[in-house]
Amino acid sequence: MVADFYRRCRREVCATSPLDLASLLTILLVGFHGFNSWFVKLPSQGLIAVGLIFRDILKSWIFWALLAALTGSRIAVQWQDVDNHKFILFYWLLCMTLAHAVLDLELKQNIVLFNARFFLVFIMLAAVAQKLSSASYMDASFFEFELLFDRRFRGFVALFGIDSNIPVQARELLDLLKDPYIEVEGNTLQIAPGFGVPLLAKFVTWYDLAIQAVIGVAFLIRRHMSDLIGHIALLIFIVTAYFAAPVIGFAWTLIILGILLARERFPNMTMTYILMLVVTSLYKIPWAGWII
Amino acid sequence: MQITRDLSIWKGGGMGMFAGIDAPRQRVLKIYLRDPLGQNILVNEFDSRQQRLITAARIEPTDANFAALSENLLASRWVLNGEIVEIIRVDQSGARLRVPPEPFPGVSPVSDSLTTLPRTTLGNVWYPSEVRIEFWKFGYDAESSLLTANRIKVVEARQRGSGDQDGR
Repeated sequence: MVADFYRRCRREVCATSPLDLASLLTILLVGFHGFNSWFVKLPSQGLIAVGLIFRDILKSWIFWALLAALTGSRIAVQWQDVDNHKFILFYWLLCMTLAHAVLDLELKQNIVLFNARFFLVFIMLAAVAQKLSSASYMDASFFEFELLFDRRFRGFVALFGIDSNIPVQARELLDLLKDPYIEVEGNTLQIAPGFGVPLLAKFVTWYDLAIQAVIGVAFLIRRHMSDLIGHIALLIFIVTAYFAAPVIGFAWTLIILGILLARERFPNMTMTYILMLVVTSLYKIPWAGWII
Repeated sequence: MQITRDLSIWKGGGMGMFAGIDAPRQRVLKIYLRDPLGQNILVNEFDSRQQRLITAARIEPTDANFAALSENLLASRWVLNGEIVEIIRVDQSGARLRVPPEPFPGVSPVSDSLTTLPRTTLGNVWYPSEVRIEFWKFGYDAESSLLTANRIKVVEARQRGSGDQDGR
């Protein structure tokens, strides 16, 4: 029965055109992980509700232009504090507008597929370039800093058997340094990261750089085997990276791009991506508090 | 923009999140106002417009963003909020030094609507004669395990007619 259900879902997904699939997945992305500002969230969710009731509206470029304008308006208000994946969401909504605006059926699908690949390659290779050019990333200071001071990593650090008191004490010292009402002698504080944190930081540094490079290059090559490698690496990246740092909106963006590229040639991979929509959402469960 | 405007590597759509320590939350502004008695007060309470300007200046610390922030701070009215704040000094291990804390009064911004006045207000509202903004970055060196705070930039501005803005 489960196998039948799985096969039916796979058939449905693979029979849906790239543009229709992209439309459905994108409204999920905007609805669940769009901007939280009231002037974007309320009208966007209203539009999405109308689109879900009157499905033909999803085929109108005006619908997508409105969603893009709403998302773009938040970026225009203060672009400095906007996360990177929200810029990608805005560009993606412009692509969806363009894809729905053109009349040629084949061109519609090609716009979606070309841009899905382009964004995936851009996201990964731009990230690799940023990391290669960042001194604090390459000497592993960055991940040591994150493991010690970023609360989002506290469960991840504990999973590796590292004493949870080490990050707690380190965070207390960072809070001291940041407190405007506390003056620290010499403006420096000595941290005791122990043995495990630096080792884990080095491993995470090279793992993160290598897997993003593999994904970017694999999808750039555009061959069957390289795409297969790219999809496997992307799925591993999604499972591992967002488990440690649950930026679910970004995870969903990558999953949607992966689904669109896998749909035709890798149906089982497509279903794995869809499962990842659920799995990454579960990462928001506050599991870290249960193991520390 | 990361090179020319010191834009945080994490922002601006350049895919640099998780690529360096210099995230917006590792950048802090310390803002001092000079009150009518000539006292420099470290301010830690801002209205929403000021918060937006602070965010912009932290993430993209350009002269224009600092000028916009200092203009707003100088044009805003402030009031003593009844709190007494103390500056505490600590050594490199985080232990408190045997130096008496330096107390000074807390202040709050007063918005145009009087309903947003803090519940406990002392004295009249006033405009600061000077503003001093310090831009700090926090860093970490894995080799030495040292956490550092570096003052990157200081901008001072006075009320119009009493001098020009001075950034260094």
